[in-house]
Amino acid sequence: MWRWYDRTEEWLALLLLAGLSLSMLLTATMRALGSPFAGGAEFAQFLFIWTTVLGANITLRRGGQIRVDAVVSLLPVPVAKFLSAICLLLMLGFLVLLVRHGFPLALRNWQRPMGVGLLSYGYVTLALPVGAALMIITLLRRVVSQGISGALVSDDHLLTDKPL
Amino acid sequence: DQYYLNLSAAVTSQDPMVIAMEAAAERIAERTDGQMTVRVFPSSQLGSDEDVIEQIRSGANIGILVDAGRLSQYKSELGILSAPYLVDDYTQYEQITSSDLYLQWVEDLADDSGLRLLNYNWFQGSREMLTKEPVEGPDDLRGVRVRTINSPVWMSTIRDMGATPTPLPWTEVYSALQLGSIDGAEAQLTAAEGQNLHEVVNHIALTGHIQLLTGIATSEEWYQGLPSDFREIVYEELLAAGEEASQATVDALDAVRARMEDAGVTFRDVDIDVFRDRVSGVYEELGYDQYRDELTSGL
Amino acid sequence: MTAAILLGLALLLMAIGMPVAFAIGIAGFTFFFLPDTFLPINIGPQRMVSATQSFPLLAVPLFILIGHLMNASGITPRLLKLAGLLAGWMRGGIAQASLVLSAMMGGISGSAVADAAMQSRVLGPGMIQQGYKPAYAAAVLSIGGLITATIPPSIGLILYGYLGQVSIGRLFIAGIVPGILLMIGLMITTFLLARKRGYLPIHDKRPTAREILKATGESIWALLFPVWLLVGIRYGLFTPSEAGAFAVAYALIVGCLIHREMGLRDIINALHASVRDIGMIMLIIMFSGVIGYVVSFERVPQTIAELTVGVFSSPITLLLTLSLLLVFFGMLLEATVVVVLLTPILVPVITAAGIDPVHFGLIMMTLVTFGGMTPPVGISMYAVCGILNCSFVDYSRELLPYAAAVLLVVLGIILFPNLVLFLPTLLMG
Ligand code: NA
Ligand code: NA
Repeated sequence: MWRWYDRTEEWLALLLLAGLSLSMLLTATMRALGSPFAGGAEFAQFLFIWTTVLGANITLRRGGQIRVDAVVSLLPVPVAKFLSAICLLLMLGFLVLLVRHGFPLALRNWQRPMGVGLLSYGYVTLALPVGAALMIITLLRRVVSQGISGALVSDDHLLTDKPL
Repeated sequence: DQYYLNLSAAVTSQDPMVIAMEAAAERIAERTDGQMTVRVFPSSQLGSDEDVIEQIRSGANIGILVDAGRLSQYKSELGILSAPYLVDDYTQYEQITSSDLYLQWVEDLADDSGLRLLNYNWFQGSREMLTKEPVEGPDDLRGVRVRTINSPVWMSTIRDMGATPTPLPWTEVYSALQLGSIDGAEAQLTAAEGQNLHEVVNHIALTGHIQLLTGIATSEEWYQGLPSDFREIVYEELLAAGEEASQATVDALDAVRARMEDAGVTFRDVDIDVFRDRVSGVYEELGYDQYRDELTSGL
Repeated sequence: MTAAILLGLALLLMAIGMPVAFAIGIAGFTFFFLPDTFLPINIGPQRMVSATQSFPLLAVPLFILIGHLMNASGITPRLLKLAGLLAGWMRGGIAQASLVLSAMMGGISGSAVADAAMQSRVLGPGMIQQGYKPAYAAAVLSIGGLITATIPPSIGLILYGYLGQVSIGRLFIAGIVPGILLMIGLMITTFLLARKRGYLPIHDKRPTAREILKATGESIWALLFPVWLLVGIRYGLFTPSEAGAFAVAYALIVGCLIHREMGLRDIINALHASVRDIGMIMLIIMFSGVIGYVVSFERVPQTIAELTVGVFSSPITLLLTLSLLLVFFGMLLEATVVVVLLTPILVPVITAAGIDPVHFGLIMMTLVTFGGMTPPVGISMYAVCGILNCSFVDYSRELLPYAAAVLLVVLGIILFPNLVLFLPTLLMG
């Protein structure tokens, strides 16, 4: 079941990114041709935040969110495990807060048009609580499969292809 | 108890609006023996207008300087205050904002959305047309991409004036003009100078299509929670500041124009009646025609 | 004061191994729980959502995607051939070629780490075969990424421009000269090291004009890209964000139709890899929305500006001091994090001191990106040493001469602002 869940999420994120590129291209082309269409950039921004939260969750699932392990790796194993548990608890609490305050915010924003009003800003805001909920599930899954010490450690041995 | 009010404005720290806000902040601190602190945040430091309004609606102790068009989302009738050629001169707004009709709208706004609109007397200037190519009439605006504010009144007005309305964040207008991704902007002169737009446009047509009056909206919940004497002090000082800011705007106009002309910008008077006719449809389109006569009769 | 405590909390959480995005987000959110904060907590989520809703920021996902499309589109191997031809005859030929390749890749890619990782796979083994110490190979391949990140396009400059409200078009054009200066500085260093250690050329004679012409012809599509990117931005055909979209289309056309090397599978793989990178870099930006709000709410830049006015007698002393600070933070923190945390604070400070934010942007980006190549925390260092299997200590020793060259170039840029500013002024007024 998790396999389908993960695959669906990956494909969805991929389509969102492809759509983002396409709508940016269309917007710029139309404007260069002298008939600007105002909704394009907004649509791209809507796709962008959803790409971001899905991508963040996919990366978190591989333990790939950037972290500094230089200090922790010098500590005795039990201490490191204790610190890792604290991190996980704080992260889960933080994500719960985002869900709790994010959904009402999205509902409030349902009336708020985005730019020229093709889309409700609610759809944009919704990405944050949904993303936070997905990341809660992911963190719990990581704790089950990798243990407390391994939950935040990257699955990839080589840290490559980092953007900056 | 210590009270805090944070004032947010989109204009820069040099703008007459912000200078008047800072003067009001000093007077409020003085009159409350330092029990009330007012902090001023220019250049949208606390977020876009939409975001700050949302913060206020959830009860934050923030006041924002906005035009009625922005508030029309919560009380649609208020949008008429930003409608094109509503009055000939900004001083005529005083009669409008003391009418029963307007005062009822303000109460409705507070009840329905939690936004308390305080004094609506901050005149920021009349909106003019800043372009790369000269504009004498509506025909010169055909196909010209003009940046405007992203709300129905503004978008319809610019469209009916003949241009292609293009919404963009105010802070991105300079680079958009410089890069040619828009061909013009409509703005009041003091704000345009604050963004150095005279460096990137060549012509200013004095269309004066909207008298940009703005007001301070704050949280009804926070405002009602103030001691009544503090409420009065805040109200009085912001009212006085609005008058100072408006006067400073008017006083600054000649100097701003002269500086822009020195920078090579050509100013041009246009036949306002032609534009006034073209935008009259905006009132019907947005359902404002029924209030227009009631508000402006006797002006 | 509040902001300083929250920044300290963020650093503490990072030190105990929390992912940096979460460390920044949690520290920011703490603001709403402080006893003297009278703000509703749902401002927190709002600021996070807003942090992603900016038009200039749309350039980030697009330039990340281009980076991943480039290898599959056949652009990389063609540029490699040309770089080998142009620089392979010098002492330490393969190292020189790698630096020239970084400059050429820089015209399309915006990421130092992507460049260093790619080159370590493609050129690293060859260098070691030629008798280079693995740690030396790692150092030169890693530092080359700095050239890539400085020559436009540059993801770092996009973030700086977005966070500091500085024209991204100007920043891009301003990056050309520093990028070339870095290439020259690093090539001179390589020449001196290669002479001392007897590293040989890979070609025994200089290339003929004919050979160069032929290789240039083969990579013409890649070489033309930065030219029309800058022309397009200069003449307003597109904004820097939209340039990213055109660049994606360009890479697809070159890869699928001209080189005929890229298929649907490659495109899907590139999208997959990009989604993960975007999820990583943008989560930091998104979660930093609250810290940014606290910084303006507590008027941190104004306070610092007031404190520093008068302390620094000239813009140059201020720039030198800030550079030391940036090198320090750059060594300790990931580049995105430094840019996100310090740009909103420092840009108002330097602007108040009369320094052009474009000038400062190039200094800041160069130093912060360089920090990614140094111990103790450096993503480029991790990537390159991981691929080439060398120790961080050896790597750091080999990096020293190159670090000196980079700092010398930055010093030159600080002392002569026009090195950075004359091109944007010439082209954009
Ligand atoms: Na680059
Ligand atoms: Na470092």
